[in-house]
Amino acid sequence: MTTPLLELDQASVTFRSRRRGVQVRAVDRVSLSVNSAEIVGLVGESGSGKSSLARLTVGLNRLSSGSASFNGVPLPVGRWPGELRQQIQMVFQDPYSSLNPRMTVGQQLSELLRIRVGLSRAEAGKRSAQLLDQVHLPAELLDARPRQMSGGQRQRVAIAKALTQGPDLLVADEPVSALDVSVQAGVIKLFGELRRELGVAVLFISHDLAVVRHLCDRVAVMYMGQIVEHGSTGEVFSDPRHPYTRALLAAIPRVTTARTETSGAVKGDPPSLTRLPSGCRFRLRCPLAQTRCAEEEPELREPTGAAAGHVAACHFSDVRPEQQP
Amino acid sequence: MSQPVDRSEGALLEVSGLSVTVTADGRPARAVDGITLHVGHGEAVGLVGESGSGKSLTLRAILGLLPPGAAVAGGSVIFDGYDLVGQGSRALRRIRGTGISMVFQEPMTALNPVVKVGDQMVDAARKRLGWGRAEARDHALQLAKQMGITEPEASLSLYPHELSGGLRQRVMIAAALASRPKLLLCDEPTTALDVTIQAQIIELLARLRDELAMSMLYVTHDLAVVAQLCTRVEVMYAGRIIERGPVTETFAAPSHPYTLGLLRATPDVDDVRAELYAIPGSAPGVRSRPAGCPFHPRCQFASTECESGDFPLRAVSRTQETACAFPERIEGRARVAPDAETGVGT
Repeated sequence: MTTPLLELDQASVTFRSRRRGVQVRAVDRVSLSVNSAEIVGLVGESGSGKSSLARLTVGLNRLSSGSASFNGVPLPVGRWPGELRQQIQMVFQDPYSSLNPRMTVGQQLSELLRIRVGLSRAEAGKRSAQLLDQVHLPAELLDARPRQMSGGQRQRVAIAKALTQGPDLLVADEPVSALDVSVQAGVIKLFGELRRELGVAVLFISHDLAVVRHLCDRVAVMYMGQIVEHGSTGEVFSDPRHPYTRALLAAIPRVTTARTETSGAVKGDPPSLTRLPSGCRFRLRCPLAQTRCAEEEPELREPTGAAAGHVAACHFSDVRPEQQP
Repeated sequence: MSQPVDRSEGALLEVSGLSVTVTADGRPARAVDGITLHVGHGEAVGLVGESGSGKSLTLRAILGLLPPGAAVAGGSVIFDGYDLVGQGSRALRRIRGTGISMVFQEPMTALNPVVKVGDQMVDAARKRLGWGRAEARDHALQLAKQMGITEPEASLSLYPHELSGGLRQRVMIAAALASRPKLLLCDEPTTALDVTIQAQIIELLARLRDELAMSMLYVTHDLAVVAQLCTRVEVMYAGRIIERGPVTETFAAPSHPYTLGLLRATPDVDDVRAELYAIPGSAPGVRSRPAGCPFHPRCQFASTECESGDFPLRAVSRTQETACAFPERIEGRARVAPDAETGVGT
């Protein structure tokens, strides 16, 4: 078996809560791996810890326990060596945050290529044009500034910047959420292309399950800092074994079907991380909850009849919903 | 469910030929270009468009809440018999208070930062409905519960800044509903929310529509939300309505290539067989709208005839209208992705 590109083993990220002054675990003993040229989706509601996890993988959050390694080497605690920073790049929801408003696209790309990659001015110019082509932008945009471009174009430029140093892994945090539907599809497909053509792996964080289903090979569902279900995308979406995954799927509005009573949808908000319920964290919103759920925290395991590698953290994951009372 | 398109008589809201100009650097540009639409009693109408289409400006012009630099350049807005355009702010406030509420994408713009959120809801119900404090309080609590707000008593005694974004949004919607408006104007109120919360709010709005015959004009970019909530849809592009009709028919068989493109671009969580379609290019800015059909540079069915002339809405069936001159070119193409697509330069 080959070493995964990125491997988290029981990784946790803790913060001190401002209001209550207690420690909260935003990411709680998460094990997840991303292999080379693989696209892994991470879904969950706001506050589920998916962004904290993303930031951990690029060194913006510190690991408080467990381990996180890249190519088998633990991620360093302090300042990352240049080589590692080149290998893992992040793409944000708002491309403005990674673009310099005063510089043209060409200047921003060449600067990175000259300083970080060590290309000459002429080489950097040529490579910048290639990178724009890679993200399907016309070469004319080399002279454009961010505000002269559309949201979709800016996100493509942000991706081109992330590609300058030839990364092995892109960590993309809601990269298409701020885009118009008509251009969103193009950026989704671009991630698929980059994987195919450059072999880049992607950790794709999104609240949009439909987008994840169209793009990702595997998906992990997060709830209150933990992964509650994980498996190949097709499996998790067609045979969800955790009631939270089913609730998320039921809540998505559909274009093709008229309104139905969203009986499968959960009510209310997730409880605060500072006041975790005993046992299963989902039990207060769960339609299946029983006394056992308050007493015993469910572990991730392969449910009966599920495909290999498909795991869920629910005491009742062996039973599909149509078989449940 | 479907109604004839021209049944605007006795509508609660009638917008005719509404135009809005935005001025920047002393140069005016027409952002909303002669919009005509109506909302019937108890009817929910979706106004769909992408950024820059003019959908939010249309909604704000109806209420006289245009941002600085934007002004109504023509047309009329008749609500319940009153023309709202050109009214003074006092008259507008009276009309708004008694019949129209609006919910925004940004809740902080609508909530008073120095009044507890529960008091804001209670005040709205007392002022508009003449209710007593206790009655208004019960009503507020009930609305908060229906919004899926856990621990409503505790949440309502907080100030807006103390609430999380999702909670604040729900409180704003509850405050807008507290005065039992005849017409609710919605500007992407659930876009920033989690799907689980969005589902609860859509369910609540649908119930209010049915039980209280509340009318809604719902602005969004999300076709699926429109499908859940609205009976009719108006699709906007570059300041104009380019397609309208009953939701079910329009989404099943769109008659404008832009609507078709939007449907194909929307990922379907239940079906991954259809490949996603990216509409080439991006929506034009207010100052760079093309001549002829505004969609022609991005349209895969366009021909030279589309590059000049007028493209007014016209009926293609008893219930559907389109601004496309060649709707037969997309006939029968429902939601199947085209063979060649690139998404270049979007």
